[in-house]
Amino acid sequence: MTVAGRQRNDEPILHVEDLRVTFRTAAGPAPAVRGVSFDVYPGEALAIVGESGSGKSVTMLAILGLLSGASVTGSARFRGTELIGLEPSRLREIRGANVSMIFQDPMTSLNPVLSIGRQLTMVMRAHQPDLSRSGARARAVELLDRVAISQAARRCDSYPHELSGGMRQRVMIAMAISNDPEVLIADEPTTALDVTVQAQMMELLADLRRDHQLALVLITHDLGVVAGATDRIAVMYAGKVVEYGSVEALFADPGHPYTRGLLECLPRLDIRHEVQASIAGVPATPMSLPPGCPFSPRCKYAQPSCSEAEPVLAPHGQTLVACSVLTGVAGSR
Amino acid sequence: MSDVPVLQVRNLVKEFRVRERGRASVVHAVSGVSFDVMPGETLALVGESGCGKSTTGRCIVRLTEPTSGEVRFRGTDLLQLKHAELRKARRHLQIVFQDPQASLHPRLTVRQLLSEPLEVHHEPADVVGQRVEELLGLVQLRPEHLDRYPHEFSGGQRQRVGIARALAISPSMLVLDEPVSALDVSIQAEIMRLLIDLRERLGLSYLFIAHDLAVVRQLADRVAVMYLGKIVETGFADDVYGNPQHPYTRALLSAVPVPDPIVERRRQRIVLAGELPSPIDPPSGCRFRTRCWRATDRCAEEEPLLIGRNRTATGHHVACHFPGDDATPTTAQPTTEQAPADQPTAEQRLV
Repeated sequence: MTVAGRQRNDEPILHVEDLRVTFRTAAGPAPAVRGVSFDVYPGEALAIVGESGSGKSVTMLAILGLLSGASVTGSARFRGTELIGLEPSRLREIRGANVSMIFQDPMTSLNPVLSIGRQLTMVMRAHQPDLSRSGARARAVELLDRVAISQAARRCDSYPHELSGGMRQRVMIAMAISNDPEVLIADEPTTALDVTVQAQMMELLADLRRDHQLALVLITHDLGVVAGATDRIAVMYAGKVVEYGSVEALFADPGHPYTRGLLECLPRLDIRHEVQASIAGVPATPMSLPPGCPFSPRCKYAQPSCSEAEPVLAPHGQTLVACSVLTGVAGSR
Repeated sequence: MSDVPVLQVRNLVKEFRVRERGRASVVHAVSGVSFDVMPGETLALVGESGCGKSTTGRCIVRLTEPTSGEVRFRGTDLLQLKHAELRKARRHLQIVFQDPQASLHPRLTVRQLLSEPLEVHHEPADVVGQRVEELLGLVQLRPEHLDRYPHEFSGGQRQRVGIARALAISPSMLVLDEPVSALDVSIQAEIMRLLIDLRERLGLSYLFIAHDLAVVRQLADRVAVMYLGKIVETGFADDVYGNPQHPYTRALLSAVPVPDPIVERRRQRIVLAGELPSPIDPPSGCRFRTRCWRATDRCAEEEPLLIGRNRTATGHHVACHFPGDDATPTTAQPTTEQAPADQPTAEQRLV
């Protein structure tokens, strides 16, 4: 596949191809992710954008082997090592060390009965057996300081409930970078936070990326956050990437009707505009996928052929777009 | 628009008594909030978690009993009313909650949910049936939805039911407490359109409580910004958004990401340092001073009053000793990331 919005020739650090995730449910199989491919390059930031149920979180959880009871096929290679189907002990070595993840709700991801210092040292010592207890503790204080938690030495003995939402998310970030990862996956890291705290957090992530050459995969529903913080975007709908390209190209000239609709219905502060409710209906779910293009029932430009075959990603303008009407590329039946 | 406010809130105070580490203490959730809402007007009460905006909304409809103050709705002080009178007065003042999943009874059908408020207010059965169908049309739901339960709906549809329920007894004013913040962006836009529509068609006044300044901009006539239990700035939406005066308002506006990579990379942001102080022990003087890059000794000693920049009641008011742009750096050490002198003006920042 062509690399949307990339001219450089370096090797991707994370290469995902045709990833599929299907959950077994009482009502039958639920295909949550249906053939997703993307690349993450060293030091770059990729955003995976979509609304609830688009499969954006499930994609990343599947890559890290954090889904139990789902069937996962396809390929996800970290520096050449295939992660899908990798034995759990090998996967554990990579996860939390080379590739780490932060989640939306830091309250449910932190252990409420352990001090944050203890949780930080546990993560480090799991991956660095040579690290002494006191060495880990010193490093934990250093990390808390790095994520701008004041009085880090004292805070080290605090419990999660004693911290504000923003501070808890800082602790999560400290934990995620404690083993110097190359890829940081952030799943809606600021959704639960206030806007001024969100600004603090996005600035921290940008600093860390610059200082540690971190590659960032930002999973979010918020195109506003994406605009300033990432290099490329994959827009997901109903378990598929429907548009893929550089941030500049995608905002300047969005191709897919879904991307366009999303941008149109975004409220903005900087310009006064009437927000359009431009996407009618409700998102398709894995249990109720329409035939052909999953977006066609909500699409203003849908034609009869749209419900016959599912479009594939093909070049349109400067992005890759999964829309047969736009690209003229016939879909797969 | 008539000149008599439909809602007048004066010096509203809500204190919660709590025990903190065994000691009795007082949470100062709302500390003397005053504002007016004119007929047909939308006032947006904005602020971040813990600023007291939702408590203010709940105090106004008396779902939470305020500690003191006055809430004059159509001339009557709601806080003086006995239960039966309050119920009558609330016919005209209803509230819509953030999470319709939590505020709609899961075992009642839409028909029952919409009939309930009408029955509470003793409407005859034939009127109820007719009104329920009318309401459904008003929020653009279909007749076949009537006999379904809340869990059978999407979040957006459920919020439509929540709105219909609030509208059942034809109120003249709605308190909307974060009505779209639990929804996906595309659904959010639909509900906002609906609210704008209903306001025009029914001549409603809104008190719109929200944390999202971009969402608010679409429908607010006036805006009041809250921080730690107090209003720090209020005025017409164009004034507050276009020419914010209070440092907190400026920081808040500056923190909202702009969905445009070119603008976003060029603009400078005010990133606030530190954390929200505890409402148990709020800072003396100006409550924002501990995070303000313009704060001086005066800010700790003397509480800034909400002062009008002109003399009209609905004009632009700011509670700050040093409002406006940072053209001249103050003697205070800035706690923001950039030096104050480098900060762009509001016009530059909001391109």
